[in-house]
Amino acid sequence: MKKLFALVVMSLSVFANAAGLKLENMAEVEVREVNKDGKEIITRIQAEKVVPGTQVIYTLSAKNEADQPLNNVVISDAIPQNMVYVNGSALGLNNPANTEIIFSVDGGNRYDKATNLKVKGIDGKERVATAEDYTHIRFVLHYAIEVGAVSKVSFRALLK
Amino acid sequence: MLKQTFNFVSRLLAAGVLVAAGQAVLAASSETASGTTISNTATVSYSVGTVAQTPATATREFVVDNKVDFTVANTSGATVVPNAASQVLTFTVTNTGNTIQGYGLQAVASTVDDFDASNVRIYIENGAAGFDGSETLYTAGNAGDLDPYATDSMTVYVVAEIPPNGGGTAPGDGSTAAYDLIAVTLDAGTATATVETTGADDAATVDVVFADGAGVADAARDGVHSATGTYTVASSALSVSKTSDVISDPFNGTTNPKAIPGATVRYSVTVANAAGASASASSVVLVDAIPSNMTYVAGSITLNAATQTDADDTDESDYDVTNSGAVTVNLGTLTAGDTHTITFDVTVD
Repeated sequence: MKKLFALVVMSLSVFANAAGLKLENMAEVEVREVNKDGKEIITRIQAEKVVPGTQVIYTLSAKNEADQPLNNVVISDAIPQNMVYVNGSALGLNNPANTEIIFSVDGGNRYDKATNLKVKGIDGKERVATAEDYTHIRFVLHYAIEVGAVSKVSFRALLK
Repeated sequence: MLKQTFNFVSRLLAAGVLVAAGQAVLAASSETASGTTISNTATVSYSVGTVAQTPATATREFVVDNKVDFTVANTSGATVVPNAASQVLTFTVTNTGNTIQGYGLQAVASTVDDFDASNVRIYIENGAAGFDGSETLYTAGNAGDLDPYATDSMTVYVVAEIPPNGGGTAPGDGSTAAYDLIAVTLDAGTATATVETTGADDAATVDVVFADGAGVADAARDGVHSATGTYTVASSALSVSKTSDVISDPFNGTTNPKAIPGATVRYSVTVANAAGASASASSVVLVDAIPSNMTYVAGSITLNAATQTDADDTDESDYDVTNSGAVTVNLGTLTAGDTHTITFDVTVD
């Protein structure tokens, strides 16, 4: 039992160190509460109690821990099994104008703008891919992450 | 090119198989099963200056929790007649969550009806649809586990006896007896009620979240659901009224006669099935005993103004044959709105 617990903790470790860039992966869900003034307030908590039909907000934070700016930063993420990307939910939180968001429908082999992606329907005809077809999402940062700075990108996915 | 074509065909075939499988389990849940680990690994590639570096990754996992969601639905009520035995209300219990659950059942008499049935019991369908008495009688505990990815639904019958006509709680035409079937979520394979996880949570364990809607007799998100089934009585609505008139006496004749000894009194009996009645009344027989101190006037019976004989013969009426000392009129079937008027005369002794 103890061993299992240790294993779980390890698998939950969210930091992965690489030379100079630290990537953090955060999964959160929204909790709606009504405050004492009767207003609904939405807070985010770490995704732990997740039931089907819930949207999970993934936030990926790339921190420059090197001593010079980092270029050509590309953050890729597979849409998890049993989850569907929520249309229009991808955001470059720090520099949206210079964050290019592209998708893949073939397991990450080829990425392109959403409108350029096509899949074959069961009738064999090609159609424009929809959010349910996306297997991967990629954020291409067309800007450098300065020393000590953090760049965050996020997207939402719905648990089927 | 050839290979591409082949791939395309095989993809089509695979898609076809998927569709067929989907149809076979049409009712089953498409929600992610509880206990499934959802893992997300992000990768970042980058360069320092112009030199590409080893990509960094970060993984996040969570476990899909138990979404307790199910419905109780009433699929048919019952139109009943008074005194009918083993009348059936049909319900379904369907697990729409993402975990195998058991269910405890209860049939509770609704307060918003007219009468109560008796000997109320619950049966679980165990074979072909339709109640035939061979179903499993449910008394307590777990009525059966439902797997949202396989057999996600059970048919439940509430069976009861309808009380007879007469008495203070007579089930008159159009009156109703309603029963709420209440199902409580149990842990699979047990008779233990499922408890929603409260307070602090652990990403590595399966927690329970109640997601059920409100039923007729329960609140939303309580692990309980309910629906109402109704017995509706479709009966005849027979009424009988009787009037008497003194039609002559030995002194006044027919002018303002009085009920003195020797006077003739005409009884008029009206039997009706109300115009709005849901059912016909059959085998209706009127029996009217001649009161003491009165003597029946031979040959005086009329039915709807037609003269009847006193003998037990081809007409509908007799006197002192079928019932001693009484007028008996066999009215047969009265459909809704039918009215029959019987008259007969007696003399005051």
